[in-house]
Amino acid sequence: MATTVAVPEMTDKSPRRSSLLEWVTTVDHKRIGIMYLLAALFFLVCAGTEAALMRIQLWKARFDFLEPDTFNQLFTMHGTTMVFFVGMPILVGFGNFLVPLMIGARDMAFPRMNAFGLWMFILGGLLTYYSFLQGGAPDVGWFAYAPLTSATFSRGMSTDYWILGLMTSGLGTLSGGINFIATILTMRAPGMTFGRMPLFIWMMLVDAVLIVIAFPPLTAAQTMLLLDRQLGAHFFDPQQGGSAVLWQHLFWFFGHPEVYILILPAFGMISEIIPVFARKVIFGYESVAAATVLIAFIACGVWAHHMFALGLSRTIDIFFSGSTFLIAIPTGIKMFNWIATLYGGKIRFQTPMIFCLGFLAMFLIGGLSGVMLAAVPFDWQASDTYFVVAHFHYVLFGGTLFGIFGGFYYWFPKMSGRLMNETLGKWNFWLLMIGFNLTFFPMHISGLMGMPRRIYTYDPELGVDIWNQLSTIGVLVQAAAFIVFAVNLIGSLRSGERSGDDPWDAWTLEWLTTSPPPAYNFEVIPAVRSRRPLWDLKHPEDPDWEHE
Amino acid sequence: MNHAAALSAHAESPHHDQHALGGWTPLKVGMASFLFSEAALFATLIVAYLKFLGQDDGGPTPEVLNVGRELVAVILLLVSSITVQFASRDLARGRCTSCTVGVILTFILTVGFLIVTGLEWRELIAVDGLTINRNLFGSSFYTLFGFHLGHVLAGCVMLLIMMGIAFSGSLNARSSPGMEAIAWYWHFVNGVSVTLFLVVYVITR
Ligand SMILES: [Cu+2]
Repeated sequence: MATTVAVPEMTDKSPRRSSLLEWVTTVDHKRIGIMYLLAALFFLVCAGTEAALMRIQLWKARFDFLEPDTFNQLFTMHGTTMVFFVGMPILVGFGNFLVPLMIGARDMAFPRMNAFGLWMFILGGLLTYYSFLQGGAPDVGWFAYAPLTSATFSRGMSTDYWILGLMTSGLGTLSGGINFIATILTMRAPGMTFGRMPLFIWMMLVDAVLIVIAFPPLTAAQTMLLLDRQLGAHFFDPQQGGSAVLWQHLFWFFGHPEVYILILPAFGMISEIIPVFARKVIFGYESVAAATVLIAFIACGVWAHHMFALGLSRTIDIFFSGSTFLIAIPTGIKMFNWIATLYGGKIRFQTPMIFCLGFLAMFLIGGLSGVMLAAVPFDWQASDTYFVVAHFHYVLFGGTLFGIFGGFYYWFPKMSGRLMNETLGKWNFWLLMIGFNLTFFPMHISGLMGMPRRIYTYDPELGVDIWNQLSTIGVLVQAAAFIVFAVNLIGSLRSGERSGDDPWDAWTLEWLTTSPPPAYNFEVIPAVRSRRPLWDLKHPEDPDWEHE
Repeated sequence: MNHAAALSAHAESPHHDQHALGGWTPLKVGMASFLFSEAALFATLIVAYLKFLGQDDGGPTPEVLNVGRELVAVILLLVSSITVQFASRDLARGRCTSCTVGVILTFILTVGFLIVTGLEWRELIAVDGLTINRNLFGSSFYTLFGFHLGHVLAGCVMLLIMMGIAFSGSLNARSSPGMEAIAWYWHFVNGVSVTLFLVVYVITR
């Protein structure tokens, strides 16, 4: 910026405390976004610890480090936490911080509802975790299949905490989804047509639509379950004519779109980062946006691929197998778009970019094992084995989390005004890459050898000890990666190199304003004439709008 | 901020405001998205109702439902949709008093709906012995109509807030977008009421 005023560091104690109050009471989208990220990182530590404890238990056959019922609580809480209290809040947090900045708006459409969503998420997370103090955490799996959840089999309150915690945070998620839709549809800067929106905005819009479609059925199903447990209704009670299968249908009608809710914003992040670090415009902007819409559309019609082992019927299996194969087409289109963007680019291998490249490689593996699982006979063999665990970790960890790390390294300067350390960033990436693959690749093998998931131990005769030991060692390496990340985050926040407004020489509007941005975001509401408004500004002799 | 100033000079370009969505304010888009999610919620509950229809071994069946009485309840709500629409239109035109009258009429009609529904439920519970834990029909019937009732009660709270604003003398055209959003919500809830009547009381009974 033309005028930079040195602000003295605050050392006095009283203004600090009042600034904490300011954070808690804020309705500013940037602060809300950052609080989403911090709360989600806290829950990430919880979920990671749960995973590590499970991996210790699985170190060798018939190990007795954990009680079986503790193991059940740990895998339930790990899955629930990662999906509802880590994955979505981190993505919603980035969305909150970035959407108004990227579209040149002052704030989200409903700032107070935005704060409501944040606090509902935190309340829901704490409510779910409070169950640990009330006789034990939920132990029915993150999918909570009936009749395990009935009052007969799930005594105590743990399942009720699971229901109420997720309903509460779900309400927050829904309000966030509505907010994103209203913001993106009505508050874009002058000139920013749908065809000029950054791809991250496209992904967030489609993501929000999926939230609005997928969450109400979950809420309805959870209400029925709560009525079953508390008022003696019979929805999911086969003894009284109820249907355990209906729960699976309703849960997965939510559950599959949920996977896309978790991956689309990460697609959006790498669609922003890859072009900037390849110094090229995204290849096939229109097809990336169209493929996203198509993915969301198909995603609503594939849910029963989680239920092949149930034996629904040949016709149903064939339909859902076919629709699941179809989803590989728009996803494949995007992979080719990203790779074509890299092709011939002047690639800068900085940390945000190498996480994106990691994303492409890992997500490809997860996508391919997903195509394998879409084939019904293969699914029957691999269902409920560690092969499935490997598959969705390659998608949601190798995909979503790698994208999120890329996003942290890319947008941290905008949030804090400082760069994250490059050397530590590289260490972070390589430790995570090695640890991740060491943990999850062997699961393909142990799974195909017959190791069942959600069971606290395994038979020595199965011969999978070595693969499990590799997985457990991988967790140690991952832990090192997360520690490096934490050190980098805290260290860079305190004494990272000053980034300036636009450290990556990027092209979208968030880099136009200061780092961190002022409360009002932009002094002058920017007008947009192309997909890369900052390129136009920096290169008036060759603006994009002459070519688009 | 010379960058931003330079960019804003482009605002004079012919593409200016190309993306604007007619009269769609953030409030309207937000309300429409919310109602879309509500539609997904009720669709799920209707699917559950239909799934369990006729699956019971014993206990009351939909034959115990009183079609005539429910028709009265639905008509009361439908008329209230008209009054709330008049209230919303009047406020938009600055006629605060007639808006207040419309809101009060809507509220009275809604209370009428609640009374008729109360009578229906009392008979179902006391005479027919249909409760939520009696059989699957009871479970799914009360859940479906209970959700609708909850939405009607939420609408009552909105109407009461509008009345509070009116009686405190601060009703003016600035409340008009809010009143319009309430009217949208109200039409939706009443549309659900008609749908439930047709599905439960007419088609599948
Ligand atoms: Cu799926």
